[in-house]
Amino acid sequence: MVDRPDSRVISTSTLDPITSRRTGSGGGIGDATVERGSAGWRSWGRGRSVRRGALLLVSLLIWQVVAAVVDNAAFPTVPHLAAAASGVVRTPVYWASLGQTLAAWAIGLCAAALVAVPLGLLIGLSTVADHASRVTVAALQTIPSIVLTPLVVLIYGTTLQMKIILVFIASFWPLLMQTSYGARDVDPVAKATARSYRLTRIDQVRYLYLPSASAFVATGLRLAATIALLVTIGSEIVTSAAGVGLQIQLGESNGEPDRAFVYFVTASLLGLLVATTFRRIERLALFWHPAHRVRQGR
Amino acid sequence: MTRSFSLRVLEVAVPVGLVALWWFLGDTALTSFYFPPLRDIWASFRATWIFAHVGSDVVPTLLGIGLGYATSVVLGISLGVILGSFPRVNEFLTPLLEFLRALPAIAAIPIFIVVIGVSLKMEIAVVTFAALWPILLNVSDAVAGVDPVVRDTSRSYRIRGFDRLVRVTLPSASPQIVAGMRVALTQSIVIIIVSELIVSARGIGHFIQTAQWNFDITAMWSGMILIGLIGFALSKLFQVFEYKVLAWHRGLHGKAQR
Repeated sequence: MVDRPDSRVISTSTLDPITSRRTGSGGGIGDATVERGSAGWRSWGRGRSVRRGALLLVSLLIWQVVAAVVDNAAFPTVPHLAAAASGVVRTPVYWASLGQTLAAWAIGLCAAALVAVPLGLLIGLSTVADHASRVTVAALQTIPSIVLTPLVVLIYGTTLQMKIILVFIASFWPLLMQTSYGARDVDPVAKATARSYRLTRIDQVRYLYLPSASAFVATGLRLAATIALLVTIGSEIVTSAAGVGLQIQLGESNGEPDRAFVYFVTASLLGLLVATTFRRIERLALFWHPAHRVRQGR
Repeated sequence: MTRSFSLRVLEVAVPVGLVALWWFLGDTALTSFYFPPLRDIWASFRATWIFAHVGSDVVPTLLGIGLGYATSVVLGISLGVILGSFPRVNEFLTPLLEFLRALPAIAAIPIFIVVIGVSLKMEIAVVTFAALWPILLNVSDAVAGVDPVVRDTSRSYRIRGFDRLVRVTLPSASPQIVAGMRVALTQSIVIIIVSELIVSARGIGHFIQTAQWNFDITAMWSGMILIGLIGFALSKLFQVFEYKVLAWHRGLHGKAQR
C-alpha cells in the first residue's frame, strides 16, 4: 500500500464525487467528473469540430462492424439505415410521434417542477417538514415510476394524460430532493447576515434561499428531464400510447426492424438533445457557485 | 434532546401513519376500484408472493437483474480501466460514450427483441446496454484522473502492472466506480421490469401485466409493491456494500465533512 501522506493525496482527488453527492448533485456524481473531461475537450479548441467529425465517422464505422458481426437480417447496415431513415422522416407519422412524445415530456416536467420546487424549499427550510418526509420520500423514491404504468393506463387509457402523470411522478423526486438539498446548502454566513439585517422570512426565501438553491434546482431539472424522457418513451412502448416509443414497438411487432431502428435512433438523439440542453442550463445556473468556479479555475 | 427525539419519532410516525391509513380506510370514499385498501392488497400479496410465485416470477426477475448487472459491472470496470489508461483515446471517445449514456435505454428493448429474440440472453444484453455506460464513463474518468502526485509516487516506487492496478488505480477510483455502479443498479431494475412488461412470459413484470389484463387490481398492486420492496432492498444492500468498500475513504474524510 502507498504511504499515508500519499493516500491522503489520493483521497483529495477523489473527494469530489462523494462530496458532490452529499451536498446533493445527486445522480450528477458522474457528471462532476465528466465536466472535467468536457472542459479539457473544449480547451483543445480549434480541433474540436474536426474531432467531432472524426468521432462521428468512427461511430458509424463501429455500427457497420457491429452489423457485420451480428450478421442478422434485422440489424441494418449504415447505408441501409440511412435509406430507411430518409423514407421514415418524410412520413407525417414521424413528426406527429415526435410531437406527442415531446408534449408529454414537457408538460409533465413543468408540472413536476411547479409542485416539487416549492415543496423542496419547504423541506429544506423546515426541520419538521424535513424529518416528517425523510423516510417516506426515501422509500417512495426507490420505486421506479415506470412500474405504475399498468395502473395508470387502466385509469386514463392510452392518452397524453396517462403519460403526463407518469412523467410527473418520475421527475418529481429528483426535483424535490435537489431543491431541498439546495435550500439546506445555503452558506451559514449569508444566512446569519440575512438574519442580522432582519430580512423577513419571505425576503430570505426571495433573496437568499431561492438563488442559492437555483444551482441545485438546475441539477434536479437535468436529472428529471432525462428520467422524464425515459418514462415517456417507456410508457409508450409498454402501453402503445402514440409517440416515438409506440413506433419502435410497432416496428418490432410488425416485423419492420428498419422502422424500429430509425425511431430508436430518433429517441437516442432526443436523449442527447435533452442531456446537452439541460447541462447547458445547469452551467448557466451554476456559474457563480464555488464548486463551479473552482472547476473553471483549473 | 427531547426535540431531536420527537423529530426521530416524527420520521417514523409519518410513513407508519400513511400505511395505517391505507390499511384501515377500508371501504371509505378514499379507496376505489383502482386504489383498493391495503388490507386486500396484503391478502393478495400473501397468496401470491409468500411463496407461491417466488420460483416462477421472482427468481427470473432477480436472475435477469443479477446477471445483467454483473455483466455490466465486469465489462464496465475492465473496459473503463483500459480506456482510462489511454487518455487521448478516452478523451476522443467520451462524447460517444456520453451519447450512449444519454439515450433512453428503454427504447432499446424492442431493438434487442428484434435482433436477439425473447430470451434471458436478450434481457442480459439490454440490461448491460443500459447499465454499462454509467460505470464505464465513471471508471475511465476516475482512472484517467488519478492524482498526478500519486501516479508519480507509485512510479518512483516502481509499483507496476497488476500491483499498480489493484493497489493504486482501483482504490483511488473506487468512490467514482461505486457512484457509477449505484446509477447502473437502478437502471438494471427498470430495464428488467419494462422488458418483462413488454414481452416476457415470466417475471414480476409479466405477472403485473397479466393481472392488468384480468382486471385483478389487487394482484397488480401486490406486484407493484413487491417491485418497490425489491428496489428498496437492493438499494439498501448497495448502501451496505458502499459503506464497506469506501470505509477507508470515509475514515479520511468523515470528520472533515461533518
